[in-house]
Amino acid sequence: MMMLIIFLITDISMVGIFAGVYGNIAKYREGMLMGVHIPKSELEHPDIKELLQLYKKRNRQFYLWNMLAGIAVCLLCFTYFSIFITVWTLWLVEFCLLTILRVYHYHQKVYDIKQKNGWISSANADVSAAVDTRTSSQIAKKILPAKLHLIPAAVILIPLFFPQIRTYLLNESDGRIMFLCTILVSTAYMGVGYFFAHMPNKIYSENSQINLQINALEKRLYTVFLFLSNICNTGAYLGIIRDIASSNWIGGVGMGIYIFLELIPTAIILIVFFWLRKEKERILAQDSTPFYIDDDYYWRKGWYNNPNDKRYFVQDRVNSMNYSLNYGHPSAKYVTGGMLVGTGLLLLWMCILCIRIDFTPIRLTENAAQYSITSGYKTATFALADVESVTLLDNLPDEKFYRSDGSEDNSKLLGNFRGSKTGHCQMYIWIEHAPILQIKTKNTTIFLNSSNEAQTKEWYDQLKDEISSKE
Amino acid sequence: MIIKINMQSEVPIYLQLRNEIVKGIGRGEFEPGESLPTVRQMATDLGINTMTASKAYQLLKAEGFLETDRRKGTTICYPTCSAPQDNRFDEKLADELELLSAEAKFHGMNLTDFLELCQRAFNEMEVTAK
Repeated sequence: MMMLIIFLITDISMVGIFAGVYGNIAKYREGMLMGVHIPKSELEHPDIKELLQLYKKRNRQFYLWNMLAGIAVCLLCFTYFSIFITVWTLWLVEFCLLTILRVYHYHQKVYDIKQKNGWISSANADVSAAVDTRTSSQIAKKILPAKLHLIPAAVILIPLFFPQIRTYLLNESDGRIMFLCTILVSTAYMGVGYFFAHMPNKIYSENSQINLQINALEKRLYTVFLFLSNICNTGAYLGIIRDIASSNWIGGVGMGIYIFLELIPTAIILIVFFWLRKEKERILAQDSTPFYIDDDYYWRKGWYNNPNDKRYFVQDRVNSMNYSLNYGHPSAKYVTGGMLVGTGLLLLWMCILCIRIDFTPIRLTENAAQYSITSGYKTATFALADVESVTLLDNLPDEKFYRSDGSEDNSKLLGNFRGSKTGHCQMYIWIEHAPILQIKTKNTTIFLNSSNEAQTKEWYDQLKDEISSKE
Repeated sequence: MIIKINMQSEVPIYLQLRNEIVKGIGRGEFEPGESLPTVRQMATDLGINTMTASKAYQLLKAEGFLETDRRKGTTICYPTCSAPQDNRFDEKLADELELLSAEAKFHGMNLTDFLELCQRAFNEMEVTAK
């Protein structure tokens, strides 16, 4: 049920956000319609009106269909997880790809109409680049410097000075992961903060006051947001540290605080993005001297391609928070291609892994006093000589188990776990099935069973006999 | 002031930048003492190499249009603090006028029209030396 709720929220949020950002390109903004500069007076042109009508109709259908599909896919989580995740991945890929392709398609349509009607602006026709010197010289005083992020970064390192916490963070896999993730996220926030603070200022108007107002508003909001997000990240981490300090264990409360605090920035950025867009529109609505360089030729296919522009990253036409690559640089194509192929392979690998986990049976096999436990996750081996005891349990021991790696769903537990009393252990068990075989070796404890009760008892008898004959 | 650059022009970018700043000073769009963006910020905003922006700034400093202040950074010079008038500026001006005159005459412009153009351009300039 938890998985259903998580994926439902994810899918509904994702479709909603995409609709708000990419589905809203039909609005005339900053002298552009769907990322193409056209005179405002031409919005009433029959070709444009017809295109907008078609776009709005297809837009509604597209997002409605994907919302319903995203919800329907979630119901598959009551079947095998691998089937659900494979279908969900296919839906995700379809949704993301078609969203972007639709943006490019309509952008190209508007550009074609512009070309056909000759709506090329003569103002700034010879201008390739421009700078508002007043905005550029004064902006630095109005934004939060990136070096402030060193404060939360330093707070993250402080717990390392406490021996108990340092031992846990460096020796336990979940501690290491938490520490590394927190540091990486903190560094990422600082890097993005630096990037936003130093990104080129955009010129919206011949009026320097308006340019300064909008650029300062944008950069200040984003740099402050990123700093506060870093604080949330540090706070989330300290919740985990609190758990480790009090019980030498990362429990549900610590994880709950961690997830909650890490999710806060996600909610805030959406509010910031939409509020900022409205505010920019309000300020620009009062402007009587708009400024723009008509470089639509380089955007004619929907992406930026200008070999003469030395910039590698350019601000996206559709979403000013995003940056796009300049495909005039050959390496940009390789980077994008690499990312797409890499992501595709990663998703494929994830689906294959899940299918293996779900459909590979758990088996115990013996070969010359070496035992192997095969499962969909990985194969574990142990020598008969290392076995200290073998016990048949009705249930798992009554304690909390925390997964270090592997798989944990409604039907199976596979991989490395840590019990509050048992300590490090390995699990290869069907949850709804009994009995459970507990094998204690010199190095670890293994919990193992089969979906077939008789098979589990057979493994127990086999191991018991082997141990007895060894003695 | 909005400085505009044409990357496709035959005029080097650093020279375009220099010329735009000088014109801005002449037209009074830059106030004396006003700060300019740093070289790095100028280069980032224009999408040009930092060395190109630096070259333009160095040229303007050498010509007496800009000066560097530790607190304010690069600022527009007051006309009084410009380099003292000497023959070099007069020779440079004469040289450029000779070129303009040759081009104007080649294209059939007469003296009256040429002087009228010069007067119009000169009158647009609002900067005054103290």
